[in-house]
Amino acid sequence: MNFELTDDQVQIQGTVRRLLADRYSTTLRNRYLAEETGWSADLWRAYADMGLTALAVPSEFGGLGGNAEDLYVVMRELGHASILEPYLGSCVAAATAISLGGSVQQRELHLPKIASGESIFAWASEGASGPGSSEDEAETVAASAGNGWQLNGTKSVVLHAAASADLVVSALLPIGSRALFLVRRDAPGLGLRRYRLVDGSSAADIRFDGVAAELLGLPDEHAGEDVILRAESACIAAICAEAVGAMRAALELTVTHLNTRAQFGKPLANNQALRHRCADMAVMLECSESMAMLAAITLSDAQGCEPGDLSMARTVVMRNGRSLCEHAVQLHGGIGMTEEYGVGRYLQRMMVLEQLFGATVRRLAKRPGIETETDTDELAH
Amino acid sequence: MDIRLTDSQQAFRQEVRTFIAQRLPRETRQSLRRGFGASYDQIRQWQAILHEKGWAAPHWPKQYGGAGLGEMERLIVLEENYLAPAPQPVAQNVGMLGPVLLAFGTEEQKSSLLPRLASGELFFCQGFSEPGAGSDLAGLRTAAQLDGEDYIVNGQKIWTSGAHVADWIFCLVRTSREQRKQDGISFLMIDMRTPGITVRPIRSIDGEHHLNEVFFDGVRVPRRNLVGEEGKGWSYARYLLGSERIGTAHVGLCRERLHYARELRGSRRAGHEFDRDLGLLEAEVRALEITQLRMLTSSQAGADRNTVVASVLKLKGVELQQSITLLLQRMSGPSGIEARSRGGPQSDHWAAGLGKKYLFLRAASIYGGTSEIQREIVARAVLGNT
Repeated sequence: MNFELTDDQVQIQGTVRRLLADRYSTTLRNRYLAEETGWSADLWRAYADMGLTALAVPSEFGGLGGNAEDLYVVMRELGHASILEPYLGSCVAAATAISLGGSVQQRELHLPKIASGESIFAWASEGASGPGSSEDEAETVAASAGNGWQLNGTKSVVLHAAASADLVVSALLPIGSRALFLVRRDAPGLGLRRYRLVDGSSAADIRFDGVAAELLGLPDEHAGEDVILRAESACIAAICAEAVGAMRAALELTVTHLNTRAQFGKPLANNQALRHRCADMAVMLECSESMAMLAAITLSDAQGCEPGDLSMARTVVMRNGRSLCEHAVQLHGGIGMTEEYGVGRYLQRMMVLEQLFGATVRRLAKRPGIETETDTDELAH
Repeated sequence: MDIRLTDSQQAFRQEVRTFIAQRLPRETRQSLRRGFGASYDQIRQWQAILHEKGWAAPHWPKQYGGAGLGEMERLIVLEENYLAPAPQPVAQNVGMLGPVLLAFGTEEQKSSLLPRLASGELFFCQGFSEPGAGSDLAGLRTAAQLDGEDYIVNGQKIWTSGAHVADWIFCLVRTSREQRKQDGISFLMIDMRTPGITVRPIRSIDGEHHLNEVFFDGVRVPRRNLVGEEGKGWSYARYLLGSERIGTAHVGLCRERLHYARELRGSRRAGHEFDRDLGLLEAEVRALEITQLRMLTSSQAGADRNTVVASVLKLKGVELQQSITLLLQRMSGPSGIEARSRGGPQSDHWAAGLGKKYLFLRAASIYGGTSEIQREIVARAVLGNT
């Protein structure tokens, strides 16, 4: 049994942390937000230079071949800085899906470009599909057209869709199971409604009207469903780590505030009511950290894990993350409510993360061999 | 990272599980299952059985009645015992006095007492709290004055679990008045049969008699019953409370109670309105379990870190134990609010002890350092000393 980071992981953690400390201050972050894309192309290049964009890509395709635990280390730091770049969709979801499900040709074509940061893919599968999104959303269906496929339907809350030249889209095949398709974002028939999410990050709703699409993998394979679940499982573990990074940042800001702000002639940190809230936050962080590690372990080496560990991880991390960030805003008082100060961004981010991949958790629970009598996804809300 | 037990640890877990399944008396298991505590007789009986394997104190050296096992093996015994469910060995013996004697006792104290603490032949209770010294323990006033080769003890202890059945008591007593109230405190073991000791019962809100007041009126205690040095008792008490990295979380207890709740749901004795809480609690208990394993295997050891870790685990563990027993009490419906809960441990009604257990475990956030004290320990670590 071992929960320690390797020396390499400690080193990656330090490097990423230093980069983001320099280049992701609240001021700079607000500047990135003000750009039309809502993120920084310079930072994206910096991630590429560091190899972060190559992390989840297998080494034979120009990647670093990192596992879920390496990703955990990086995502925690990205969450701590609350980054705005399209890392999750391209470097986690698409990289995993293409590695697992792509044909040799597709892997050779796309993975090196994902690894180098040159290509940015958006992930248009389950994304956010909570109770509020289902009404306008029509299931995306695939129909064969000549040598290829055509997609019709909609996808909502596709993160960073506008920034991406390519999309990985899940759609229902005529045989009734889902498959993944590669779609050019500028393909005829593809309509995009862009908007920002509550945390300032970019997303879009997409409408497909007879959009030409390329099946991921070979036509005679029916592995799409499994590839989707595995790619989204990687995403769930990644957002658990991201949330834990955000939680740590929110707690750090709170500790600094309590130790420096004085009222009634003494530091806020001298007040028991505030100290005890801080202790509760530390407990929430420890438990969430444990579950984010567990989520990574379920993907890298599932031995010793229990069915339902990944969904339990998501439940614990999202619930505690939300609560911790609420505490953080409260303990800051008025300044915590300002956009300028920046503690609120972690709460905003938790609102977004909590909405992601809920439907995936429900699907995971229905897989053979996995029995969860309770739909823990319902619990996160 | 990995969360696998080694092959030998897995084999050990299986060995413990099989042993418990074969040897645990049916009535004891039944009683715990229904939510009652084990009787003191049942606890002693079970501890003696565990002691055959050295598993009453698995981490103690063999010569002192332990099995010389590592921390992970010790955790395995603890958790398997909870999961059975079986009673835990007397905490005052193996979790409190034992570690202090191992660290600070004389060789004579160790070799004469530790094996009997492990076997349960001697049953100790803990005399720390006083009417005027609860969380602020250093305010204690029970005094021990040297008279020749004996201490003469006068004063009063309170909230003493099991004093009415214990053979001995270990106490913090004041042997001198110093500027710092933490100084001048000594750690003394006293035979409960000594003249001058009076035990008065306190009935607690679960309707049971666990707690007592203990009065000392000119009680003569041989000097050799002092543990460690005179006046250093406070540091031994701190060691006692802070030496544990495990054992404060009670993961197995939570799991066993959740299994029972699942069973009640499965047999439709409780409705689907409990599913949400049940699923959430299962996820939270898993998080507690992994946190405990992280802490246990962490290379960042050290006494200060251990104290904080123990506090984090106790805070969360207590919160979950209380939430789970509340859930079970609600599941029990009207059966759980009947006074005396349908006739005590002999009752085979599935809900018989669930109301009692809920009430009993309200104490979990009070004993062993209240949750407020634990939060203060964690806050000090997080915020720095302010």
